Amino acid sequence: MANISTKLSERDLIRKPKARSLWSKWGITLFLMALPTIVYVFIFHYLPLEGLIISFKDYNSFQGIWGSPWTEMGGFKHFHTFVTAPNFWTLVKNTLVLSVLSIVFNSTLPILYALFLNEVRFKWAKKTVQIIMYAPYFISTVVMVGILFVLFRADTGSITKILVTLGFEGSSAMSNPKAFVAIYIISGLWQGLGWWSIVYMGSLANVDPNLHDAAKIDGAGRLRRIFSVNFPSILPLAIIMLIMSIGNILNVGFEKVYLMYTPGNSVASEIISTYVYRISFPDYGLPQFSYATAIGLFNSVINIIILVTANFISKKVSDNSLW
Amino acid sequence: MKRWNREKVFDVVITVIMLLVALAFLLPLLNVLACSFSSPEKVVAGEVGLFPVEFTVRGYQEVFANDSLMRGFLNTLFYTFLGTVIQVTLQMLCAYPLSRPDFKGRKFLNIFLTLTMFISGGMIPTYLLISNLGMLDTIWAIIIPGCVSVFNIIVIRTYMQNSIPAELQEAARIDGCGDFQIFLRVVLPLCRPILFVMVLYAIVGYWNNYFNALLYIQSTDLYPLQRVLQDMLVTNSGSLGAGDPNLQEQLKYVTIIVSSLPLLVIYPFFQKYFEKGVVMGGVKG
Amino acid sequence: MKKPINKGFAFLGMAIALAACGGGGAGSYDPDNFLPEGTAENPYQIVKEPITIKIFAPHSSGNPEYKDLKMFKHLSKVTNLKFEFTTPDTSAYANRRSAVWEDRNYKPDLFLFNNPIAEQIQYAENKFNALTPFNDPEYSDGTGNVGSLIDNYMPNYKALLENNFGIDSEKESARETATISDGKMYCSISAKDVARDLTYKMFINNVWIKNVYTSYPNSYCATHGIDDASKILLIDDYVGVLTDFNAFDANNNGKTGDEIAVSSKAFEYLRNFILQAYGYVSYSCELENDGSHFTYVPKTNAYRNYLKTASGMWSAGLMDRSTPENKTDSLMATNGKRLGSFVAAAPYIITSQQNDPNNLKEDGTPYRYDEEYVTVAPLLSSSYDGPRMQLGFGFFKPDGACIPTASNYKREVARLIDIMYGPLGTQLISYGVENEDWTWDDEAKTSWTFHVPDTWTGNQEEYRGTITPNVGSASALYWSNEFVGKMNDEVITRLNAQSETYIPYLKTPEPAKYKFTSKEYETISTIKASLDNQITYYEASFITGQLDPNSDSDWNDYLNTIERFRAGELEGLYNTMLARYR
Repeated sequence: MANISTKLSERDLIRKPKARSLWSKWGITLFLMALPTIVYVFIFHYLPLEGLIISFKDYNSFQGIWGSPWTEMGGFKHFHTFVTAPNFWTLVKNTLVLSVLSIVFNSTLPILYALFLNEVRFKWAKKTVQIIMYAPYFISTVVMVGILFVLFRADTGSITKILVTLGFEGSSAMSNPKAFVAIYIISGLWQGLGWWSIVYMGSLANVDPNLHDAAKIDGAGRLRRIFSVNFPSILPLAIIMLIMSIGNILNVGFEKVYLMYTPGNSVASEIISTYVYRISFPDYGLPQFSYATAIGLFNSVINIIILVTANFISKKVSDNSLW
Repeated sequence: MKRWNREKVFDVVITVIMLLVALAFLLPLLNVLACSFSSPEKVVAGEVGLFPVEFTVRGYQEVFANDSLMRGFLNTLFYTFLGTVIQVTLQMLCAYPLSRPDFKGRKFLNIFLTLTMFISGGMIPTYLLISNLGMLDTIWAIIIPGCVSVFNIIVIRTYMQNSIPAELQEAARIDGCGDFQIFLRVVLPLCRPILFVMVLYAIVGYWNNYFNALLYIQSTDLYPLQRVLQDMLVTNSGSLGAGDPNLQEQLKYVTIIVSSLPLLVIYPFFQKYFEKGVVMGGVKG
Repeated sequence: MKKPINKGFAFLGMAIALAACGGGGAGSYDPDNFLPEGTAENPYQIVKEPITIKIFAPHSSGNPEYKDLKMFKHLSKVTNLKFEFTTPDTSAYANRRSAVWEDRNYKPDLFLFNNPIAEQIQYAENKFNALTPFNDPEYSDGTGNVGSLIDNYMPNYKALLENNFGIDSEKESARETATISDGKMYCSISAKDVARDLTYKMFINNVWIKNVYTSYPNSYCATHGIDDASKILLIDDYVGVLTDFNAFDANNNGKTGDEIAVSSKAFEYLRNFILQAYGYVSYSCELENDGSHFTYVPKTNAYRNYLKTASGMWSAGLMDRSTPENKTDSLMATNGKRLGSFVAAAPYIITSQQNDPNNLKEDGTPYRYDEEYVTVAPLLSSSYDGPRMQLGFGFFKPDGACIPTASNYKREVARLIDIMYGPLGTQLISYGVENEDWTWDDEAKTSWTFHVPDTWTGNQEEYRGTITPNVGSASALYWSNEFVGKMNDEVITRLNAQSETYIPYLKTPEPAKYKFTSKEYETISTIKASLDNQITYYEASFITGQLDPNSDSDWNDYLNTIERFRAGELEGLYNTMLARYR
């Protein structure tokens, strides 16, 4: 992931510093500057790995991580319980539906939007559009979902009213499992479209004008040029972004789904991560930390496998890859 | 001549289309804004469109008089300030050594950091750790977990490598500056754009965070704004407008506006910086 | 394994160390500070020098902070204890409550209200020694021999247990409810015997019924002779009356069709009411009337009949479209809806205590509170003519107060709990301090009056919320008819009288004396985590018309699905448990 740095480092090595204190020479100062983060990362990213042990145990808070007894089936009881659970496929399906559709829309529409916005030649218009489109990104997930609940309120919510005129039921779409995915995706785009396009806008600004001139000479119109010049030039970036999002395919944002959950839409809105939360801190019965951790671990392992595969395929097919 | 005309028409058409798209994106917010200034009865009856009906600021008075909401506001202000300071400091400090080709542990540190983007303990192990550290139900459980973003560090590092001439650092060194002074006097001033981006990220992150509070905080007096909002807007267990169901509904619109306003007011000032910063992050992948 | 973590901890610096405040204060217990009997002038005093008791309790935003509640201020004054509260929101209470055990720093002295029975059983079975038994004569801790808390320090509670809180022990036994399989009690009972709080209440607008009956001879009411809510006996009558509400100008405002016939907070509350006309009161496992076995209700024909009725009501437009979203009683009343019928704690929440100007008595005065909305007694149906039944919450729950073993102040806390069961405590938690918040009306103490200050702008319940957590946050430890029933208040008295309708029919679907093993609880909790979602989904689908309860193929698909989600296994667990009690 670090090939941009190589050019600079060679140049750097040629010019050796003349006088340096011992601290500088041994890099102690530099090390001390990085130390707080190293410690932080060690504690908050590496130490929790120890806790993964409990997915092979029946954890309870009185015996602790190491003192709690191992489970039956050589420690794999919770994994077995999960993959044989009746809701296993529902959870996997819900998670995949949300993430695949998110990836499809969230990685294509911002590109389309950026390609068209890039064509707006009036500076004031471009600025206005951009500033408006960024706004939803700064609204928190909680408020976003709050907005959804008021707009979709039964009978009289602003969107419900529109839906009723179109002949739909007056009950709230927020408790309709069939509407859940659409609401999730569309509200996600509402929040992110402007923001996600920034990176493409930046890349489009760097497209070689000569390419456009050449295309013009060939008689290509504006639309043609968008798709034959601009689009190919941002494609590598788009692919990298795509791999990144595929790597997170099972990590659908917990927060929004959790907040959008209503008993009515639960069959569509229960995904792996919200399920993990719900059995960790249940409203009914006792917390099942071990089972929850096992599901989380299962989830991460699948994720890594998918990421590696996606990267491998991309490398073969398009020469774009993360590593 | 004909070709030129078509270009012009295209320009106008695409501009109009994009403006319409932007307008469409603005509509939900306009509706919420209009509702926040309308009478509760009209709001609940669904009679408010894009302009207030029976204009009133009563909702705003109620909201500003609400204790839990105001306390959440102040808490969040405090968390955001403290969190932003800690987060930005740690990230900048760590990114600098990483940007220095002559830093000895650089390769190891790179791997050490990048690995965390792919492996994690998950919710419960992290929870157990936080509790072992004695941070449950303290402000640190809101500020510390998720404070340092490895991704951001890499973005800053790349910026430092690409936009700060090595010669400048060299010159400072010859003048007798130590590593830390170089960072402070040469690197940091030149990093202004990325610094602003990181500050904005941190502010947005802390202002909008509710997950840490959901997981780690029991005491309502430590609740950040978003956690209070969750009770009011989503689970409907808030205390606003008690007794009057219509007012209760209408106040939701007001809280939405009031709680989002601070960020919506500041982001335009950061616009030119974050555009740059996100591009930087994207290029890095 | 704590050590390396703590080393890492040190790096984080002073800040966190400072934040990790408040240890247990262990080892500093002074037995002489405790006053087992109080003092001569103040029998309620618990300690000589003040000590701090850490209390963990649920909180809803209907109340101010616990520390500002009058009840606890007063308790603190008379007992000389200081309180420190941690009070998560009620909506997240269950999960915050179970998370307390993970907290290394926070060791409460008292878990007040809503304690889960599953926890008591799991911890006792595994001998975690986490909760203090209330009735173990051998019990001792770092502070010496504690003995049986009930025998030594809880005279009020002991007496109540002995006479079963004055309730027929054939119906329900407090002692059995509190005791788990090792013969110990780890939690005190929360008890209530006030009629209005023992069940849900279905109200119907009796004025509308009379309007329809007198003005529209073709109406169901007129043709079936229903001129009063008490004439509604079958579920078909009830639906017929609602249909009238919709079809005619029942609310007498000159417009037809603006009446909303029925609303409820989620389907849940309507469900109980309709279902009981078909022979069940709940939607999970329910003990049959003869006590022979548990049945998983959602797979029964009775449940299917409920779905048929409810979907008929939905498609006929009788049911408020916001029913699935109403999360609070008051939300039912948004947009000034006048409702024909609803399930709620009390009608004044829905009407905001405003009179209906279109419906006045002949003399021009408004109808009285209990004349406008009256309760509908449990109904029967053409397919069920067994005993009438009404969902009962039960008199006792093993969830009142728990004392963690980590507390050094078990004796003090036990006395504090005991005071809450005594006359003073039951008064405080219901209506506050005598002669400040309420006064006896007469020498014989037959009734008392609650005083809401003139300066108070909200309603009476909101004011009560400044006194006690009993408004919205928690049930009282002892919500006693002995005191509460003597309140001199028209609205409350009538509400109580209206609720009496239900008392003879109460049925508790899962009696609290039956307890599972911790393994069973775990399995049940796993099953319910996914099964309940299916039930909710299918219930909504059947009612709102995506599926048809009359179609055998839809119904069989549903049965197969819930079976796949282990409904049968759930039922089996209940019956295995039941077998242990025979």
